[in-house]
Amino acid sequence: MNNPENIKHKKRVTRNNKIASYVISAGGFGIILSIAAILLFLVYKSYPLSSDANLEKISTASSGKNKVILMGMDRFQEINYSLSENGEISFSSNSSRKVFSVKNIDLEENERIIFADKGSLRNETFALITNLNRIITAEIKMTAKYQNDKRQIVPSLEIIEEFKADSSGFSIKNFIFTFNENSDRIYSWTDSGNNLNLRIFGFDDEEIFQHNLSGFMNSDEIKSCAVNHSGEILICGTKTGELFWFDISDFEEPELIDNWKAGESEITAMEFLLGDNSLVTGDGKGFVSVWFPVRNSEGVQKFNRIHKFKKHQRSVERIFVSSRNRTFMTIDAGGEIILNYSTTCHTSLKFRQSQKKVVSASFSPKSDAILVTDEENSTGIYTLDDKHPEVSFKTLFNKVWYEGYPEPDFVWQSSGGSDEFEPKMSLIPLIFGTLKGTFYAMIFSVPLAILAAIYVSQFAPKKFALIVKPTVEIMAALPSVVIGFLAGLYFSPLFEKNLMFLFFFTAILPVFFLFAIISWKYIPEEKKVKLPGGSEMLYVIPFAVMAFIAASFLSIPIENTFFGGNINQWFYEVLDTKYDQRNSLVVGFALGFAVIPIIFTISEDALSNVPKSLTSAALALGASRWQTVKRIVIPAAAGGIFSAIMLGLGRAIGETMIVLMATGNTPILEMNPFNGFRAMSATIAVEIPEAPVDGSLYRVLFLTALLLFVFTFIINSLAAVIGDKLRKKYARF
Amino acid sequence: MVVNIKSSLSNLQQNDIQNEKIIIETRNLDFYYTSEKKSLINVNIQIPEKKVTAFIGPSGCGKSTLLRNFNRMNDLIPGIKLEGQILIEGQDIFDKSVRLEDLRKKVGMVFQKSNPFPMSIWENVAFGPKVNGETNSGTLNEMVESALKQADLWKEVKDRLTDSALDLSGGQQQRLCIARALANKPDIILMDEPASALDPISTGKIEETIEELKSNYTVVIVTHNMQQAARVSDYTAFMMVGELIEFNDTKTLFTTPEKKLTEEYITGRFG
Amino acid sequence: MNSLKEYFRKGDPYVLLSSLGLILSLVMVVFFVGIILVKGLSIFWPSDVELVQLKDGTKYLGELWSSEENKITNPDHSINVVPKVQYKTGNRDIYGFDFKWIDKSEIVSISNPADATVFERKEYGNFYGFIKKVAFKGKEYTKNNELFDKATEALDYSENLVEKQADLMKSGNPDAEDKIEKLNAEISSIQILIESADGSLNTFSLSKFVGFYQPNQMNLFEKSIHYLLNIWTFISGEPRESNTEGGVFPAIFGTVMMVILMSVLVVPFGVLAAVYLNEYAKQGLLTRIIRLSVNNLAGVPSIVYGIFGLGFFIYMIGGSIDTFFFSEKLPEPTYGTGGILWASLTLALLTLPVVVVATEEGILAVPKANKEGALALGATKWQMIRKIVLPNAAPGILTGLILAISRGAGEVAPLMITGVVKLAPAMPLDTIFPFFHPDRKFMHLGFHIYDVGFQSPNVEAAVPMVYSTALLLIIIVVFLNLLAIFLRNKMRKKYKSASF
Repeated sequence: MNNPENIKHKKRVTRNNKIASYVISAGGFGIILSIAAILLFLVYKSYPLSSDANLEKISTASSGKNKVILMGMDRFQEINYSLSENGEISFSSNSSRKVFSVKNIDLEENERIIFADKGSLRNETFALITNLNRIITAEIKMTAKYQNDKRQIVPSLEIIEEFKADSSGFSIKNFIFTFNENSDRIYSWTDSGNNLNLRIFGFDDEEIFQHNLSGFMNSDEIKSCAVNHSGEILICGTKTGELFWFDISDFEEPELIDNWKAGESEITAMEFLLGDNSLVTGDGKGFVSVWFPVRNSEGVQKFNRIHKFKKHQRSVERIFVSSRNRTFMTIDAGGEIILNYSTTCHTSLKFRQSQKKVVSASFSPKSDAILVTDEENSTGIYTLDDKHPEVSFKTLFNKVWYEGYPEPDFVWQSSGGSDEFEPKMSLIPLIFGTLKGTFYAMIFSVPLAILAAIYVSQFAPKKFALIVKPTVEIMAALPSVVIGFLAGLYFSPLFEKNLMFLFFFTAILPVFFLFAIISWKYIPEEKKVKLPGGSEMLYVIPFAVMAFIAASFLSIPIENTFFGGNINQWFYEVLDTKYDQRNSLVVGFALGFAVIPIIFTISEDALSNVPKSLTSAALALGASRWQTVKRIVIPAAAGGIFSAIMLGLGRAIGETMIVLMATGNTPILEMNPFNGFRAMSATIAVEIPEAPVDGSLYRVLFLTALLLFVFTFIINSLAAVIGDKLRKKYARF
Repeated sequence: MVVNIKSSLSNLQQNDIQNEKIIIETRNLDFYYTSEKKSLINVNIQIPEKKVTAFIGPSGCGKSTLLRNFNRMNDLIPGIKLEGQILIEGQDIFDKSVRLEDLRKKVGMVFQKSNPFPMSIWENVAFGPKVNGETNSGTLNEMVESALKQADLWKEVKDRLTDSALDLSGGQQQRLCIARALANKPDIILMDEPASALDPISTGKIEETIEELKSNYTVVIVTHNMQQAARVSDYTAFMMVGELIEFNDTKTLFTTPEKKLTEEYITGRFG
Repeated sequence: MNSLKEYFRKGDPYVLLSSLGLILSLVMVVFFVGIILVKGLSIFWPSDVELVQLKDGTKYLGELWSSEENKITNPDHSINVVPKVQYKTGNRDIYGFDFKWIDKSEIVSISNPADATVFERKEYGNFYGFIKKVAFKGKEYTKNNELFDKATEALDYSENLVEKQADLMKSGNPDAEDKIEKLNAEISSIQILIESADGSLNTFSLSKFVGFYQPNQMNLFEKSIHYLLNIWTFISGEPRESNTEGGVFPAIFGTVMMVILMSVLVVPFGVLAAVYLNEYAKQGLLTRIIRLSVNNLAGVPSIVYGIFGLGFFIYMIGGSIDTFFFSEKLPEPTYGTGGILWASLTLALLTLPVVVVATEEGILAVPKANKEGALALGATKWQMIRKIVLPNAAPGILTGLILAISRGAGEVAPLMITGVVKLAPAMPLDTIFPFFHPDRKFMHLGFHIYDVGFQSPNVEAAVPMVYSTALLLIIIVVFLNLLAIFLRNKMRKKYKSASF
């Protein structure tokens, strides 16, 4: 026995067994883990949405002796510049903090810059005003040049214009500048004589307009001003907390639109956010608010206070806005800096450069860094990591007041025409849409499927059941794209054209069915007993056919008589509901059709598996066939029927192609069956290919997928666990 | 086996069918499950009221089939055919004036394997009255109590009527099934091998119950256990391959059978 | 009244109600399948061409497409019913539309001219008209009785030349250029003059045509032949005109390739997992949870798998492959974008639960006695699995595979975001090394339905194609399911007999 051949063989067998054991265990376990990985990956991709802003100080360095007026950075975060009061612009490297280039704006002796303001969010155009009331407009360009694959940022300075501010005798107290997309230049400054000066350079016809708007206002001291980025709105805040809203889009004739009291304390700082709609104000008590115009009940646009933010300890001095999103920073007299996001009304962080007052600050062009300089000319560079400021729990699941909306609302509109678009990513309309579609599908399919299952399992002849069951099982495998396409291209126009017929048929089918019931009663009992199985169905068919025929003949006259010939129009005129061609009725029908086979098959299995001994016992006690079904069979099969409904529900919730093709995909929150909806699944399918990788939309869509995963996983688990429990109750048979 | 029968027969009293009131009568009854195979052949039997009648015979002899015709349980099976008559209290049960549900209410049935419904004990017993239209809970309570008492189960379950019937022991479950049938106030109770799946003690209990029932009900019992037939029944019918071979009072049948086949069967030569 | 109450209590009305439920469900099934069958099969039929003359003298030549009754509500609330008919008039390049609705009351006469010809073109859809002149090989033909035959001859000749030209181009021979030029000139000289219904004359180069026929002259047999040929063209042909005409062969090919790749991936892993769960893992709470999870995963929406595939396979793994192996091509992605490999992987993951569950069923059906018998004879566990379990579970595995294939073939949502495209420039399998290109995008029947039905610019003209594609897809899926049911029954029978 123990010849070498044999030993070799034994060894090989043992070795193979071991290898197989390892491979299968590792592989099997790995596969199961990889399934869990799906869930983990979804979480991993959507988790960063919840992360807060993160600020990291890179370095601090002194920037000379002169007071810094204005600062900025290039878009690659390589260099920064600072404009000092003596007109010197020094460019320094972010990493070494060494000044590598200095450019000068020529000033007279004793001339000092007192204010400077960037005119645009898109480039570094700015204007400054000196103590000699001279205004100089310039642009700093920081161009990236590539040499041997190495990037080098080359700065340049270009003076655009200079002129004397027409405020002789007064000192300037406030200066703002806007350089819009038309290259119109709008300057506005107030002086110690409380004059509100406006100078507009219209680029198209190279014309200059000068206005003094003080006449429109009361004598209250003007404390701050802001012009929006398109240069159409000028807003001024006063010492008593009043705001004045000027329309300056007509360069020749600015007009006062509205003025209102914003609060008790003086408005100390103002700035328009990206998108040109929202105005941020800060006041002497440290309150920060965001305003935008909302149409009131009379149809008049009025600025409303939309959000209030965390209060500063001291008065708000400066406001800087991001050019990327609706982030802005407010800086108070004590040097504290608070970073807020307008849409979410979320304060992402608070920090200070030092205990000193802040003289200037700036966001980097991509809003991924912040520059801050304090009184002692110490300049700090911070990297800002706030990837998804527009998304928070609140924006996803609560009502949010978006710009241009009359009230807070749930809105899904993930992308718009321009970069200035305010993303609106409320999941509520999507969840609602999914539930709405599921609801209509379920009220349509559950009764039909379960009634059919009861009939097939309890009353129909066995041979018939043997044909019907596999047929319906195959229906479960019908590709949903086919059902969706039929729903979208065949049934929706069909329904629209024959809406009256549809309603009328639904209404008279029960009537005809009642005839069937009543006449069935008059068939003598002993004849019924002798009827072959399935004759109930054969008996009902003619009544259903009659209902169909009656509906087809009568629906047109009825529509003509009662609904003015067109019921769709009638709905619109009388009930004020518009009938969309692709609506929830069609989806309910199509999705219901997709779900019926699942519910039918599983509940039919459960119903036919109820032990015969139980039904015989009930019948022997004098229960009728239906009483047996109702009191014994259905309760005994309840577990299976419950599982069936749950699995159907899970399918309806996750179904993508049908809802994509059969609805208009409009994210509205209305239960009305005549309009469509936008479901979670369809949104993922449509929007993920366009979503920038790892951007907010991308992650929100992953979150949507995660929600879908969790929804269906819970539903399926419920189906399994509760279904099992209910089944166990009857397991002793 | 045979010895035992003889001994248990000794305490049987003699019955005389001539003096009994007849409650079930079949006339020339033929029954087919399928058109080819005759399962009952020309059965004529008269079952006396308020007595226990047992059907015995080898497996497949048609005794259960005959029993299940008395409450038309066979109607459920597709393709069956029946010729001849079955009269219960003089009424043809296939007559059009007879409602199937009423017949089954009148003719209760207990099955071979206990089959309580997966509900509480109370609901099990009240099931029959409920489906037959009783809704008053007081009446239902009374009916349940009386039925459970008659089935000798009341004492054991009166404190846990709301417990699941499935928590009872096998013997209790079967007595519950008897009680469930009794709650319908039937005239006749058909029992299809009611104790075949039970242990001896439970069987004894069931037999006691049957003994008590006969004062109020007609009991027809199918059994393959000859001892049991001898112990509980007043009359016994012996059947083979669909034919009624002999029907007589139990003592006579077991002690002095008229037919050779009967004798061979009860002495255990076959079956 | 009481008897009615009793009637309802005994419940016969509910039995009737449940039968009504079944009737309605079945009617729906029949309706759905019926529509697709009728619409999907009817478009291949060469229906007659009608010449319609209107009151104002306009003439249209086309196929009767549909009809409807339009209701017009007058200002005094009376209602006029206007019956209308729709004709497919073709000639899109001339009329600007393919279909024309005509008021029935406007029609003066309808005739079926025998020489009305339907031209299938490579571009701009069908052309309906009458052949007036054919010119080829330097001759012109205008005699009515020979026109059709000559045109057919000319078309054959033209196709011949085009083929020759293509061969020459492929050879890449620089001397061939002259020849190609010559052929070009000759091809464009093969011309046909067609008169359309309104009497205008149009000259076309025959190379622009796919084929033509005169349906009004065809008998039933000829039509049937033409019908079958049309079906064959549909299955084997390339799509034309942004998929709204021609065939669906690339979509069939893409679907099959994707499904094969998916099967190759899913079966080993699914079987491995099932064997592990049943034979190696310790049975207990953990395995119960795993089983429940695997079961539940079958119910997780396919779009979730899709987004996982996109995020994980394409961006994460594909992106890494690109940075390590294809960095020279960046930022143009190679594997970091949708492709047949990623789509198949995603679908493999999606169908994994199906295969695991079916395999488990198969494994559980193997009688314990057989397994114990093998072990008792001294077989190792692996030998037992290989010799007893796997062969006996094979039908189960096969059932799982078929169910997976039928699900995979019909699934669209996850594919839309992992690599399916409207029109793939090249097939994933070709004669260029390395022959199989897992990074290529591909076409798919299900996506074809969605795309042509919902994204094409001319939906009305495209819809018939969609019905046929849907029918094709249904046939494939139903066939696979029937196969699965057949195998399942066979397997059950086998073990029923084995257990006695």
